[in-house]
Amino acid sequence: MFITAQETKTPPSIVITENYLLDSAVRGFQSESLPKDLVFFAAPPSIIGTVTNGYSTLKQDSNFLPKGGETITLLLGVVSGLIIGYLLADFSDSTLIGYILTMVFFTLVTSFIAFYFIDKNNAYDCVYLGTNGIVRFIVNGNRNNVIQQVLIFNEDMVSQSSVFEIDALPFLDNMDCDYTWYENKDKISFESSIFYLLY
Amino acid sequence: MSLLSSIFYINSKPNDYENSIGSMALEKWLIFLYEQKVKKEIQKKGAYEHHSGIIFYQDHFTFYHEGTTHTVDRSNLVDIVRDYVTQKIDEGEFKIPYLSLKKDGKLIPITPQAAMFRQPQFYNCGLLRLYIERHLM
Repeated sequence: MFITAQETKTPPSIVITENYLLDSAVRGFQSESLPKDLVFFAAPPSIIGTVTNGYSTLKQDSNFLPKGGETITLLLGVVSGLIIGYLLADFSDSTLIGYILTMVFFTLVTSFIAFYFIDKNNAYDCVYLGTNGIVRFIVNGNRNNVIQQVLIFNEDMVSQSSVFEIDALPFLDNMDCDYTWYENKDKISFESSIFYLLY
Repeated sequence: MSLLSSIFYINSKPNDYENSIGSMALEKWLIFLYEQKVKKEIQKKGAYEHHSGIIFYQDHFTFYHEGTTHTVDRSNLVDIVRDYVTQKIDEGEFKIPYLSLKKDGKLIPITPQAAMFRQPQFYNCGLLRLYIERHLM
């Protein structure tokens, strides 16, 4: 994905690096000093201008799942859900429908846990903010499998930001922030908030 | 809300870190917008029309509220305060931070500090704060 002004639609090429060396002036997104164990696995494209902030969720001690790990993890999730569901239904002397519903429910739960585990252990982000735009790289499965999302600022973009203090919605957090940019019917957001689910 | 929406979602950090990325990117983009558009237009045409009747000039800005145009410059900048306005929409009741002008003991709302998704006219609202910093302070 590459969002920018109409005249430049060619995305910059991805330059994979062992650990891109950032200028010492570059800070994190809360103006914090960057921890030394972060691994910046791709170089920021020059089109985003001078990099001022960066962050990476890939650390020196981070690992990827071994080859086939995703499939095995998912399989384990599904099988363990079926077994747990079967045992619980059996324990409670369920009817056939009870067996099916319990097994489906626990399969969904354990599959979700498996997906979460894969996401936490097999995919990492690296984000750079520059004077002219922002880029996010995602590495998935191995260091050579990198995709990028780029947002280049331009004058015709519009943004929508929102900060709410919520009185009447007790099931939501008290404060919610999201930041969204629109251009040419494309949309890019910096947070998926519960409002999006409601909207 | 389109399913094609692209979301920058950052894993493995405290929840508010995503907001920090959004906030900082928004700040950077506002500076870009100010430098590339607002500043140039003020220099060239003498004014930049922001939104909802807010017009930026070199040394003051004006806004329109209930039939009256108000002017804010260095002399009354100190009277701009942050206020909350309660708004009701389908999902509930929200307190929205507003910039207001304190005049004759009353608070006159200028613009919300953040835009709501139901109010596209308030897009780019952070420009007002940036404009004030660059021109009136």
